This record gives sequence, C-alpha cells and structure tokens, in this order.
Amino acid sequence: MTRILAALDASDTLEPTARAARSLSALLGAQVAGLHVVPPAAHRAADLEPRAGFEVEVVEATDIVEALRTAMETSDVAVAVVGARDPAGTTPVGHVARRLAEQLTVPLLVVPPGSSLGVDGRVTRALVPLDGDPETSADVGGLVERLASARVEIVLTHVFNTRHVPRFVDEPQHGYDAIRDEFRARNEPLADRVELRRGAAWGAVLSCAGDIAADLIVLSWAQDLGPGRAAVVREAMANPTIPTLLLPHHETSAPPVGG
Amino acid sequence: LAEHEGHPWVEAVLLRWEPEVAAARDALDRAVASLRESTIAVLVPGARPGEPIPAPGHPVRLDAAAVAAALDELSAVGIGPGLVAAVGDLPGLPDRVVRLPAGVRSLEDLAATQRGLRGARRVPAVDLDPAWTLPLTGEDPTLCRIEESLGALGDTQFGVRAVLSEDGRACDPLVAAAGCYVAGHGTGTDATPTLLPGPLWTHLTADPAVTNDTRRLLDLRCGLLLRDGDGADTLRELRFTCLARPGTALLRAQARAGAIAAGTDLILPDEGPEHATIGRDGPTTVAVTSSSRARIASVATSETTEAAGMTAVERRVVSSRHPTRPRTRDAAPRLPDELAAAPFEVLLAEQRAAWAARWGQADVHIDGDPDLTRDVRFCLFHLMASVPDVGEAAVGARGLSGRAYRGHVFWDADVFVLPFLAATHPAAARAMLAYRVNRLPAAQAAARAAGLPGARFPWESADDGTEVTPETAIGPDGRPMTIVTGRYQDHVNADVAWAAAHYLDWTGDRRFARGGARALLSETARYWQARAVRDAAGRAHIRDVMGPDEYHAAVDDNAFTNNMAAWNLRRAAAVVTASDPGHRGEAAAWRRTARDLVDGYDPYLGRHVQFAGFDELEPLLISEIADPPVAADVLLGPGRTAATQVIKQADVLMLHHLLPGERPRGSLPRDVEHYLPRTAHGSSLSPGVHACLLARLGRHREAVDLLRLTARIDLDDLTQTTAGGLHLAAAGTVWQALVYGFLGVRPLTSGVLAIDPRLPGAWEGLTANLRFRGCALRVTARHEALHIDADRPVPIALSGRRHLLPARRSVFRPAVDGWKMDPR
Repeated sequence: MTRILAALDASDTLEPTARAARSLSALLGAQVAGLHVVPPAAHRAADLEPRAGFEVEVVEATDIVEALRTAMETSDVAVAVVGARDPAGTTPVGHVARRLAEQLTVPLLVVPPGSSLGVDGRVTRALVPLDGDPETSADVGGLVERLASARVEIVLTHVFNTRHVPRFVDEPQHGYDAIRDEFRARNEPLADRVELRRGAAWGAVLSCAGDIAADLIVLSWAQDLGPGRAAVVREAMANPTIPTLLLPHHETSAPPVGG
Repeated sequence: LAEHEGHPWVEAVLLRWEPEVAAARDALDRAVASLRESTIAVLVPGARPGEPIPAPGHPVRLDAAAVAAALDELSAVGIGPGLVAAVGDLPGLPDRVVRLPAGVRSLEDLAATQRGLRGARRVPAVDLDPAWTLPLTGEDPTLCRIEESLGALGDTQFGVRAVLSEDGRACDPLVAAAGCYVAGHGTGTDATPTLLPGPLWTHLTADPAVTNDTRRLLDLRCGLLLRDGDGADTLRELRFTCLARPGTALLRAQARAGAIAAGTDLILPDEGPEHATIGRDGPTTVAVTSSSRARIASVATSETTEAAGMTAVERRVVSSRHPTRPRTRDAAPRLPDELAAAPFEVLLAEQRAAWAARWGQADVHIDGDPDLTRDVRFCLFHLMASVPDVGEAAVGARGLSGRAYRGHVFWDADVFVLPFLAATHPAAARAMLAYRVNRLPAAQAAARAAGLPGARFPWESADDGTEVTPETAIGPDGRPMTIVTGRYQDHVNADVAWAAAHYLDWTGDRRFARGGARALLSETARYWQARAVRDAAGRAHIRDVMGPDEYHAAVDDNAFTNNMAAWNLRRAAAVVTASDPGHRGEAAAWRRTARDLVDGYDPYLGRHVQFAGFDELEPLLISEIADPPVAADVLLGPGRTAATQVIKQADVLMLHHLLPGERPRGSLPRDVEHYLPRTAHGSSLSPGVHACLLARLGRHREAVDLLRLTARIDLDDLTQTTAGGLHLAAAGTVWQALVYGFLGVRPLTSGVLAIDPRLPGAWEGLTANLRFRGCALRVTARHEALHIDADRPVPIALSGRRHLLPARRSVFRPAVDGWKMDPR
C-alpha cells in the first residue's frame, strides 16, 4: 500500500498540513504518516501525534531538507505533503518547502497556512492549469485519472496571454466552444470541463480556482525556479492560498508527438 | 503501397504496339477482354482516337506525345500514372508507371494477376502522386480528431469523418447530411439547432494486432481514403462516398484470415438524435436517426469472404436525408438491386471518373510550387465535397466535416464559398442560392419584426431560416458575453444579394435572374431603403451596425455596409427597371438612396474611413500587440480592443474585394497601406482576402505568404479547432486569392470575363479551370504567355481590350502596353 508522507513540525502549519494529508490519504486510499526532522540535540515536539491525528516519526538530522527528501523518495510514498510556513511573512513558502519542491521526484502537496484541502476533508473539485504542451498534459494524466476515479470533478483551465493566444477566433459564440472541446480532448479527456481565462497566468488560475470553488490546484512543472522559468509555480509559491499539488515533470512521461 | 502479394494493383494498361503483338490477335483480344472484365482500361499510345486497339492495317504513331495523350486520357477518368502498367518500352513514361516486358504474354500474365487480386477482393491502390494525396500519419492519438476532419469524405450531400474503422465510437465519428438539423438544448450556443448525426457505417471489428499501423492517405483526385500501411499483418482498407451517387458509400477492407470481421454494419451515434432506431431486414441493417426537424436513414450490407489466407469485408451503404419535417410514412431505405449487383471495381471506376470530371472543371495548378498546389487542391476538394448540387444547399461554416459551428450558415457561404462554385460547378452555387430564396419568407418576417419592409437575412441560420445566433456565450475569461453579431451585422443582407448577382455574372442564368435573383435583390433593397436614414443635409446613413470587423459593434456608417447597401440598391434597381416597369418609381428611389449614402471615402486622405469616428480611436497598430494572425481581443479584452483602431479582419478592404474597381481610383493601395498594419487577421477569412488584394497590387511576397498561411489553416490546425471541422470559407478565399487575385479573373455584369494576371516571379505558371456562361475555360498564365483554352466562343477583357475568343486555344504575349494576342 502506498503512503502519504507529511513533513510536520510544531508550528501553526501542523494542523492544516496534517488535515490535508489525512484528506489526501482518504482520497487516494493510501496510508498516512508524518515525519518530524530535528537537528541533533534540538528540542523535540512532544505532542505532534495527537495534533496530527496519525503516527509521526521523529528523525534527527543536520540537513532537514535532505532527510525529508530521502524519506519522501522511498518507493511507497505516493504524495509528500509540506506546509507553507512563513511566520515573518517575507518568504511565504519556507525554504524547506521550496527546496523540496525543487528536488523531490514525487508529487508534493504544498499546504498554505490556514487552508484546508476540501470541505470537511472531502475533495470535490480539482483545478488543473494546462498550457497545451503535450508533455505537461502527460505529466498530470496519472494523477488526474486517480482523482477522477475518486469522483473528484476535474476542471482544466487554460490561460490566454501573450505566450498562449489563439491566432483565430472566427465567431466567439462557437469558436470558444470548439477550443474548449478540443483542448479537453487533446490534453485530458477525463476532465469534466475546461475553463478559459485570460491575463497573467497565476492570477487567472487563482481567480478561476475561486470562481469554481476548487479544493486543489494541480500543477506540473520542470522544477526550475530560475529566472524566466516556471512563472506560475513561482507565483504559487509566493502567494499560496490554496493547496497546490506540484507534479515534477518526467522526461519519459510524454508520448511521442507527431503530425 | 500499391503492391499486393508481389503484384501491383493496376487500373489501366498502355500497350506498345509491335508487329508481334498485332500478329497474335486472338491472344491479344482474349487478354484485353480479360483486363476489361477486371475494369482495366487498355490503350495503345499512338492509335487513332476512339480506337483503343488498332484494327489490322491501321497505323500507330508512337512517340512521347502519344504516350502523354494516352496518360491524359486516363487522367480524365481519374487514373493517374501510379495505377498504369506499360507493356513494352514507351517513350516519356513518368516514373510511377509500372514497367512490364513487351508482348501479349506479358499482357496475359497481367490479366491473370489482376483477375486474381480482384477475385480475392484485395483493397485497390491509389496513385501516390504527392500533388494529389494527403498523408494522415495517425502517429499521435491526441490529434486523431484533426485527422478525422482533414480526411473527411463527402459526396456533396453526406459527409463522413475519417474515423479509424476499429475505433467505433472513439474520437469523434460523425456522418452528417446537408440541411439536417436537430434542436439544441440548454442555454446560449447549446440552445441553437445543430447538425443531426446520421448512422455510422465505418465500423469494423479487428484484431488489435492488425491495427497498429494507422497511416492513411486521402486521394484528392478521386475522393478515396486508403489505409495501407507497411507489413503483411496490417489492416488495409479503402472507403469512399460516391460523388456520382450521393448517399452511397463503399468500404473494402482486408487483413489476414480471421483478423477482421464486419461486426455491425451500422451503429447509432452516442448522442445527438432525438430518436434513433436500428434493426435487421434480411441481409441488411437499417438505421434511422431523426429529430422533429429532420431524418437520416441508412441501409447497409456487408459481405465477408476468405481467400488465400486473407479475410475481406466489403460494405455498401445507402443513406437518404430528409431535411424537412419527416413524414411518418417515409419508406424505409433499401439497397438498390443495381448497386448491390455492381462490382466494387465498377463503382470505384465510376468514382474516379466522377471526381476527375469535377476536377476538370475546377482544378488550379501552380507550376513551380507543388506543395502549395497540393494544399490548394486540399481546399478545393473539401469545397466540392461539401455542397449539394440539387435542391437547396445549406452550407455550414465547417461543411459536413465536423460539429463545430453546429452547421450554421453564415455569410461565409455566400461570399467565400459560392464564388468558387459559381465559377466551376454552377449547379452547386444555384443550390446555395435556393437555400436563401426558400428562406426569403423568414427573412421578410424578420424585417417585419424590426418594423421594416423587405427582407433581413439572419447572421446565422439553420433549417428554417430564422436567426439562430445565440445571444450569449461563455467568453475567453470564463464569463458570459453578449453576442451582438445577430443584431448588428446587417451587411449579411447585401452579401446574400451579392452572391445572387455574382452567380448571375458567372452563369448568365436567365431563369434565376427572372425569379430568385430578382426576389433576393429587390427584397434586400427594400430593407436598405427603409434602413437608411437621412440627415438634414439629405445625406443617407445606416446606423447601429457591425461590419466584418467584429471588434467594433454598433457603429454608424460602416463603409463596407453602406457601400454594399448602395450597390445592392443600384443592382436591384437595374433588375427591376429592366423587368418590371411598374416598379420604376421604387427603383428610382433606390438609386437616389444609393447615391446619397455616406460612402466613407475621404478625398483628402485618399482612403475610406471604416466607420464614423474610427480615425478618432486610439491609433494602435497590431505590431504593438503581437504578430498577426492573432485574436487581438483575447489579449486586449473586448472593451479595450473596441477603443483602438485594431481590426479583426478585412472590412474596408472587403469592399474592394467584393466590388473591385467600383471605389475611387487609387483608394485600394491607400486603404491597404492604412488598414493592413491595423489588421489582426483574427478571423480565418482575413488572410486569404488580403492575399487576393495584395496580389492585385503586385505585392507578391506578402500575398503568397498569406496565401500559404490560408491554405494550411486546417492542415496545420492554426485555429486549434480543425478537430471540429474544416474552415470552408477560408478554403474559398484560397481559390479567390488565386483566381481573382493572381489571375485577375472577374465576371463582369456585361457578360464579359475580365482577365488580368499578376504572376509572382517564383511561380512558373498558374492554371485555373473555369466555367463562364456555359463555356469551359482553362486559363494558364506564364511569364512569357497567357493561354486561354475555350470550348466555345467567349468574350473576354484583357488589358483593357475586349476579345471574342474562338473555341480553341488563344495565346497572348506580354507587351509594353499589356497582353497582345499571338496570331500564330
């Protein structure tokens, strides 16, 4: 059986992170466990398990990220969960979450402070932003299939802006329907619908998530937060407001593109 | 691809006439008879015309010209060189011709192998001429819907998407029938009528092991879709919808023994019809889909045979369509005995010949650019396949190739599709106009509802001719958007009138002139007469309209609308004055209004102003936003876009396109210079029109670039919606760019055909087959000469001079002051 593994500490992020991990475990039919990494001789939080609601292993390590990464990349971990912590408000996603996002080869759910994954722990709607790149669509395919089989409504969103703009829209009353139909068929046929938006990517995605009351955003990315790269993920990390599942791009996951 | 078990599939034989052949007369006659039984044509190059096999003593003059003539003869019935075998050495043979040893023995062997292939029901081959074939790779399953549109077949009345046989309901299978609709459900666009899907007939049951190779080939010359990948363990299939028998479709498939089966002859579409039934009637399957508005009925039978380790399935389908409310006692369709008995090869030969005849009227060929020629033929093929030539033709924006745009009829049909048909196959253009004439009562009712006389045609229409443009839709920002095209695009009225007049100019159809054309022109004129309002100075205005540029709504005095309305009034006045003296007073009023309508031309600027106040908008150029083509309103938002001078498509320039030479001298280059930098080409109708006008101005590089772009709109899925069907109107602009733009052909109201070629330097020549007032024409422009072949005397205007050309080839040479006839 696969596991959901949550990185936990004693901060205010513990409850939302643990709640999200429990929701995800119920959704995906996986076990859930926690991991608390502390530097040697540092204080160990005593009440983690009662607060988390599941077993939390405590590990001593000097490099916290490396210890988490090693544990999270064991073969039975389906999804890792981390809280986005920033008590000071200067770096909304803490360095641990950021480094994990850049390094993990398994999906990582980033849980913002004060957020919850679904209502009463039930995830009913996931928003999947796609840019139309077949590789990106292939990246999310497996997870979308699992979510769809768990009766989560899958809503794709595609954002038009200077990078992604249709060349022709002959008659908007028909053209956008045709674009939506084909976008869904080509990128994720299991999706229930497509929401088009226009404007800056992350703003449009967040706005769409609000419009449709999404419980979760699913993003595929190449794990490169360098300049000019992964603008949407960078924005998502900078302004986390809704649980966001980051799927690392795997080179081999894309089908051949022809035509 | 053309080989079966080591033998090529052959449709014709060229026999070198030699003494040894002539001497073996009995054996020769037997071999020829055997070949002909297999529907294989046998020609002797150099023999006398009408005498395929020379009689004893008759001379044979064998040379390369004789071989070329024989190949032309075969081409005229749709047999290309790749389907021809040459027995004996022949001069000037193309590479694709199969070479066989000389002599009657060789002929006998060929007859035996071909009889064997046909007896075993092997799948026939197509000629792999790259200028006539479109490969569909099938490599990427996510793109399957695009290939289903690209490879769609049509017989003018029915269309079938190119779904893979084994896919059943996968991807987006569709059989559509012209004019057959089903009511919509829901809100917005979904509430409007849409195409009624018919029974699907392409399904086969197949072992997955034989379906891995999904490569197919669309044969544009003959309207065939061939699946014929490499390897012995591969499903092969040929299907076609019969151009000569609309409603009839055939399919033949083969695979190793037991790997394929007919399965169900027909299957019902998953969704769409209000009612659907299917059942067996003896050896046939009968299926019906229907709505309260229409009905499609199909009958099909399949025959499975086993021979030489292979299974073959042959299916014949006959469908009927009932675009109007079906009568409950409509007879069930049946397979005609004659069709059931006809050999597949005979029907295939009929198909080849029927398409060859259509191409003989319509082909356009660019010497020196085979890729563009193929892309152009792709466009023309689908135009020809999509429009009925009997009764009436409701030509939707995507024809019969997909569900997008719900089969709705726009001005696309009248202005962009019809000219090609008027100039090549007038019966189809006439059927398109019948669709408008038959909906004149609905247009009159729409005008009455608006408190106006005459007729007001809808922006979008389906079966009953009422306005079906949805009033709301979900826009690119996920919010409901108000759709105002139906309210403001009055110009469609003049577009319908223009189509009727354009058809008359091409055909001189007197009967239509007296009937439908007169009604269309005069009723639309009455609408304009009342729609125009006069100011205190006596100038006439048309307010609250939208021109072709849909980025700006509710504008006043749109130059395109006003000038088209003025033209409509004048043309109607001319018709009425000539035919109905009782209405001369009304005609005089129309002329006055046409004279007084604000035309938007500014003599100081030397150009037109698109609408009142356009020049005061923010002078944004498209280059400041993105490289065209681009849907600029998606980037800027509709409100911001409307406040700028960025336009969606040709608007003022559309005026020059439809009414060439009627605007002030020198205004075309000024208008192009002004509006092209402001044009987003956000409509697929725009680049082709610009290609046409730029060709007229000699701006060849830009014109050819836009022509190429337009010809590949669907081939490259530039709209991201080709999966929903092909852009027929854009295909129509490709033809217009070539014929009206580069060849400078225009039918004049006076009954003369104007020709004024402007050939790009990179092209060696441009040829178009046309039909002008009953005369079959072939116009070939080259840099050094202009050839015009006519089958009867025809008046033309060339370089400002009029000529009555004789019924033969006329040759003109370029001179300092235009083209001069070469007396030789």
